[in-house]
Amino acid sequence: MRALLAFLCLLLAAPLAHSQALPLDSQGKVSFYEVVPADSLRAGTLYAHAKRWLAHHGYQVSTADSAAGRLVATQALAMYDRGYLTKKLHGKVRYQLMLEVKNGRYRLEFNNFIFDYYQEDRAYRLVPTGKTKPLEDSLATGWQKLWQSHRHDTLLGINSLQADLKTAMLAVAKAPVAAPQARSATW
Amino acid sequence: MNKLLPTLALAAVSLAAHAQTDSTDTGKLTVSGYIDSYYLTAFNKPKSGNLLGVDQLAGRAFDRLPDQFALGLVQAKLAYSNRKSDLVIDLTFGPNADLGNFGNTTGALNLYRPASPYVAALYGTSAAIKQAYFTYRIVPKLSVTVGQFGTHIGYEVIDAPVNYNYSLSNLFNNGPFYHIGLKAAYAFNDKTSLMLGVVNNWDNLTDNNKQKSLIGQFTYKPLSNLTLYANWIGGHGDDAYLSTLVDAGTLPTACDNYQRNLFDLTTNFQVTSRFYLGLNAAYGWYNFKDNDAEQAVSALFGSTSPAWGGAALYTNYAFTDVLGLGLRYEYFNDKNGVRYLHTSSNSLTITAPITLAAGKLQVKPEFRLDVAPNAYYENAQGLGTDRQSTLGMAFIYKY
Repeated sequence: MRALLAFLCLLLAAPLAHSQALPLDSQGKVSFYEVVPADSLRAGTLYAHAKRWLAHHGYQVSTADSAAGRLVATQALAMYDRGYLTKKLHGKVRYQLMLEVKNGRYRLEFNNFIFDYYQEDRAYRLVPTGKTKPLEDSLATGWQKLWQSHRHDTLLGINSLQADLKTAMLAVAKAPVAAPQARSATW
Repeated sequence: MNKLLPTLALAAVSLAAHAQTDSTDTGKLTVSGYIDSYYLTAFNKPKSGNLLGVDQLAGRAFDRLPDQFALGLVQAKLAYSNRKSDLVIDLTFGPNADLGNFGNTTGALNLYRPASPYVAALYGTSAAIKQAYFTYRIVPKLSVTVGQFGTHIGYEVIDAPVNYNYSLSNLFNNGPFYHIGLKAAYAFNDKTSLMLGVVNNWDNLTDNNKQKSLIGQFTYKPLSNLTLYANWIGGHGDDAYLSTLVDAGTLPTACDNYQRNLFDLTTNFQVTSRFYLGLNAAYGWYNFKDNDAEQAVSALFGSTSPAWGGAALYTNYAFTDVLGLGLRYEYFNDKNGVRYLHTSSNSLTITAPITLAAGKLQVKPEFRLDVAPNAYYENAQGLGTDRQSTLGMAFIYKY
């Protein structure tokens, strides 16, 4: 009986895990927010780490205020329709990342999530149509399953980026590589 | 044979599996395509059983069969893309593929095609090639494309899922469909780019003479939701049909000395998330350089510098992701008969696409009215009438 109950619990838990909800702020907008302690790291170091991480991940930085320790940047996650044979770009979820650093801590927020519809233009290039859909919108009549998959992929994508960012923010700067010493006859 | 089939199946599965697991934007293979079919009825009930008009010209190009289920086209498109290059193999089959690739075929659709320099049978497989080209990015801003590619002229394309209306405009039907040649594109920045190229004239798999056409496209994207394309194709003696008439002795040799130009403006403007506006305008003309040709050209075209052109306004509104409503109004003039319509026409097309299955299935109920100043269309008695109206439904499934 216990085994049966455990099996039923597992069956119930599986779809719940898949439909893990997107975090919302007080306005009901999708927002991934966290204040992260970074003991012993100065604001300037954290700012430099953040800036390097943004550049490495191809973010477009709109605000870079080193005095205030504030960075604002945008980027997008590609969303695919898995198709029957191969997957195909269906759109992109663009978002904003705000980072503020202080001595010993920083806070991050991913927000302003908007889905941009893509379709083939007359030269068969996939381009944004200009149509958009806020990620908070849970309904997508006619393509609900695909929309759910986009929302889920966004959740996974941002969680992964957030983890990566947190690791990079605490990264210890590598010691400069010593220049090779010239060989000399006397050793 | 027994071993070949499982081997091919295994290869196909492994290829598909590889493509599925590729999660990057580069080095990926995409297999896509569509099928389409339609059923429509014509209120003028043409006696001939088609919508081409009383003189069987080009009253309607692709969706020309009323009161029957008609197949449009079957497409299988393979695209491979990596950081430096793109490869497109776009194969099409069926009635609309034959019409779209008329320059690659022999027979009734292509009476003026010069004798194939290959063996005649080669046209059989060539007719299936809608596009076959590669693009190589020499540097990120400069790319070169070589092969057979869809024309840069105009607003609409052969691919039914890309167009809002199912029935194709006269501007499309009377413009070039594709070219074979080489083109280079340079992106000055995110907003402007320029393409220039040299091609085997219009819709030519094999060139009938040494003259080539030059092509150009200037793209300007002032806003993220607004794009303008200024297109051009021009050449000396690049009309295979005219050359054939000269070769046959129907026209004097002087008629082969001309310049043909076509300018085209295309815009896409997604005004709001739901409301869209588009515009297409084109003007083309012949300029005969030899005075000896004037009389013959006048007799053939009714003008010493025959021209054609038109404009179309496209608008649509998306009520939901499933249901939209779009309207196309078009004026087209080919009174000189240098293209296929051979008259002028005002056309109104109303389409209400229903999009299902996550965008894969499109059902398009559509009404179209064409009005000509003369008795161009055909009635139930097989006589001319000045208008043709149709009501139909198209079914498109893409993968």
